[in-house]
Amino acid sequence: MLGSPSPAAATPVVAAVVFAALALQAAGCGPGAPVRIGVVLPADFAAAAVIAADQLNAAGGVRGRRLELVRDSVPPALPDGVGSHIVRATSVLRVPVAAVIGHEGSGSSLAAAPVYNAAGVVQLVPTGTSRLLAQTGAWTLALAPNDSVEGRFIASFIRDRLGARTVTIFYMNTDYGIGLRDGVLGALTGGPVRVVRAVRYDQGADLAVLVDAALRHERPDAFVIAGYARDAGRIAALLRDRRVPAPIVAGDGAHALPDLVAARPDAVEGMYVVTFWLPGAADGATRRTEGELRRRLGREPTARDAMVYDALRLLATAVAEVGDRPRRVRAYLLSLGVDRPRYHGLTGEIGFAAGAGEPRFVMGRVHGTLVVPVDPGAR
Amino acid sequence: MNRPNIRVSVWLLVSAGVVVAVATGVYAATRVVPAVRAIREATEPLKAVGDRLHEASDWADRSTRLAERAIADRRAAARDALPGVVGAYDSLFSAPVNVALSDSVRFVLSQVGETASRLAVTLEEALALEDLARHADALRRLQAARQLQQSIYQLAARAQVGGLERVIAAQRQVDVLGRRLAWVFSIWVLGIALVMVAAVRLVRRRIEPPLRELQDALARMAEGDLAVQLRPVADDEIGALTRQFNQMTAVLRSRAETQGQMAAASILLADVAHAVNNPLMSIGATAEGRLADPAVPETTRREMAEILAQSRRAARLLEGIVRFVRPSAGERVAVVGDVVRESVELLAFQFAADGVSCDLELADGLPPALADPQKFEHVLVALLSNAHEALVRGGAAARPMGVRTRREGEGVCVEVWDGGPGVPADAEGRLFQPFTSSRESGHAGLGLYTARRVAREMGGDVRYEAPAQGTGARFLVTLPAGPLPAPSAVVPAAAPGGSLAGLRVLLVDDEPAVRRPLGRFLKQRGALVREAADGSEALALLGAEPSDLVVADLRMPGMDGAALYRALRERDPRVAERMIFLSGDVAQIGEMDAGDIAPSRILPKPIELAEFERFLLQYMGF
Repeated sequence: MLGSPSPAAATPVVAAVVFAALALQAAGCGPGAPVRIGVVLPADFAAAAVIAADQLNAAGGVRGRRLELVRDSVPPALPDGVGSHIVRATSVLRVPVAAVIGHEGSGSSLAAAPVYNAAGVVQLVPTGTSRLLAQTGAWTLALAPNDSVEGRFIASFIRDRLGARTVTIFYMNTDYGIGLRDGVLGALTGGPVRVVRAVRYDQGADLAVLVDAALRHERPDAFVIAGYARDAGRIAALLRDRRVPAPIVAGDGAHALPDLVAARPDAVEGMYVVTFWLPGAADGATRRTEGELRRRLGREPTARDAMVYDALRLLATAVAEVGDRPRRVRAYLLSLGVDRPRYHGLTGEIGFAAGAGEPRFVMGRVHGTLVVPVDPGAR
Repeated sequence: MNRPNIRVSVWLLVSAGVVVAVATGVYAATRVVPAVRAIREATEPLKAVGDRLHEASDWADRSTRLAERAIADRRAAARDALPGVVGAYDSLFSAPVNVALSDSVRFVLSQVGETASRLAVTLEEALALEDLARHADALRRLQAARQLQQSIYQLAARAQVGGLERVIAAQRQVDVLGRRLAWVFSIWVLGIALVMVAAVRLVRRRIEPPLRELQDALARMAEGDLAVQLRPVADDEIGALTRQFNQMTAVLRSRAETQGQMAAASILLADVAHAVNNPLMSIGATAEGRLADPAVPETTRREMAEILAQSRRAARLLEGIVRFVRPSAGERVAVVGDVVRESVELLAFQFAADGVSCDLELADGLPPALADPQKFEHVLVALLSNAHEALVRGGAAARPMGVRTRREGEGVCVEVWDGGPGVPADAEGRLFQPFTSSRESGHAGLGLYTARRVAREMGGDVRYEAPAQGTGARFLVTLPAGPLPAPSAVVPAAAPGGSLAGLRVLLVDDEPAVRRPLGRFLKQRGALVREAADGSEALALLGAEPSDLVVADLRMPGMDGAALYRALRERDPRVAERMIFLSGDVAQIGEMDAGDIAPSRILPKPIELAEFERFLLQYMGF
């Protein structure tokens, strides 16, 4: 037949195509292979990602490909610390992934960042706010605004909404705590609000001693806690035990209600907590998502859940647009707000280039087992 | 077809050099560069980690010492300075280490950071306890701080050892690479040496000896040894050169032999001409004498006339041949029509024998050519012979050819054309190259080459033009034109009015067959004739009785005509001045010393009797 290749001539071509397809399939890059995204977060933290993945797969996957979450695996005996984050990062890269969502906070994300940057895989940090995240490598991208921006937000609230003139800062001796401290100090320097003391602590610190020493000289109009929820709850309890009524403003790291209220629920009642998001959206689609999260999580969704949820949906969108090669995924993310419109997520408009993202902060207040917005209009 | 072995060998050597160069680059890129990078990657983190650890250790040491002074020694100044020193912790780990660190080093580094953090908080607690007047607790915290400081020292040492291990590993890699490089470079050097040896051997065995032989052979050729031959070598470029040299020397040898034969033939031809001209003179004179006798019957007269005509034709042919082979007389102007006619006449016998008709179209009023007539004739004879050969080789029954003359620009042009098979288009470019000849011709292939060379030496050229239509060939000889001769009134030579009657003539010729008819003719004209067979006899006769005129053959055994002239010039110059000469050697006439015997006094043999009589009367002034 004129113009048609003979079967003998076509056989090697077909074989080559089949071989290439099998090889791609084996490498996880073929058209039918699942889209793999790493998630290195505690189980409770990762639940929102699982929910988002289930939603996407139920809707047909990512351009017909099933979305598969690759979880880290670490030996149970591995002590928590920087080393564990490196092991977690290494374990999640055992299979080719388009990107990784993680880790839990700034410190752990910074510890693991060299692994992802060396491998050339996007590390999308959902809630870390340390300024160092922007310096640790080209493949590490933070979904949340950095701590200096958050520090300015807190300083502004203390000065303008609380009317305080003196403030004492308790800060966790980590990148997060130091960064947030510096953000607040930077915003208050030269203004009407004086910082009485900045007290360093860590998880093993004797907080009672530190609180007593801090209160010994001068009792401020307000306190700022730049640390995580459990320590924030303990510090609040110590202050209330010493009958200090001054308002307490905690950074986003404290927005984990079970931990925050674990020590003394009454002590944290009325505490101000900065967060990236609070439920109660006005539009129907977002409300449906909130409902789904609430139903699947069995609790009220938090900003952390929303950020993780947004992170996974965003990466799935990127893969759908440009494929699952890490370099393309990174290029897509960096183009948001520049060459492409910002991604509209649950927590707002998301972009990674300078000026592409809007600061998304909400000041909440602990009320019982909930954090409710101080200003219901601002979410 | 020779195999281009030397070129291939040279290309192979060059390729080998390129391969070695590329291999060196590739090896450097794939082996050396990664090793260097590994060293850099090992030392750069080590420096970064070392700096970081040094700062951390220094900070821990200073903070702890200051805390001891503030708390243990209760120094107020130290107490005031302590928060600032401890606060320096914030800047210690404020920037990530953006260099490639091994996980173990990074892990240890992080442990240093965590321990330093604990130390900072512990010192903060110690200060707080001291503020709360819990001195004992503060001292305990201070003790914990010292342990943390020691831990930082130990961790820093571990990290540095870890970094050093990377450097040591890189060093080992460099050592291995060095040994491998030494091995590889040794192989390369050996390979290059082998290539060089191969190159030297190639030059010494394949190029140098043949070139030396060629140089020696050329030197021998310059000394005149045309028999030199190079021994055959390999079937390559040098072999081709050797074969071409041998071919060239063979051709030169053949040409030298041909030229030698031609020179010998020229000498022989002069002798032959002399030998033949005497009988021709005898035959012609006898025939003329008989024709002059009215008593001879008509039948005999016709026979005598035929004999006379044939002898004259033979004489002309012989004269043309002798003229053709004799050396040039050095003339500079040639009458084109004459040269054409003489050239054609020279080959007329061959034309006639092969049925070739040669048509002459000679333009009127053509200026003479500025050329040596003899060389001009050589050129034309070569072209005519070429045309004749082409016609014969073509095999056609009709074999037309011809010569046309005309002006061409400022010169004259002689066109030699033939109706033969013509020149193939692909052979036109090689027509005038030496040694270009059709295989069946059997010639050396120098005819057209020589014709063009000679024409160009005379300021002209020979070119080929394909005929406008039909077959055949056209060769055109162009030469610069000379000035037209001034028109002169044609005055017919006045017939001498005198008579030979009573003239005392001494005929000196060793050939009786020449002497007798001439003597008979002179006697018929009333002359008093005596005969001598050579110069000596003539001198004797002249000694006995004087003569008014001596007619002597120049070439005789014993005393020849020239010797007789010289003898008479000394003994009786008056008689010597009344001496004319006959010569059957045409070349001899041209070669005769003008200062001795003027060529105008020499008559070529054979000569018609009437012409002979006219010359005598004119010479004697009758």
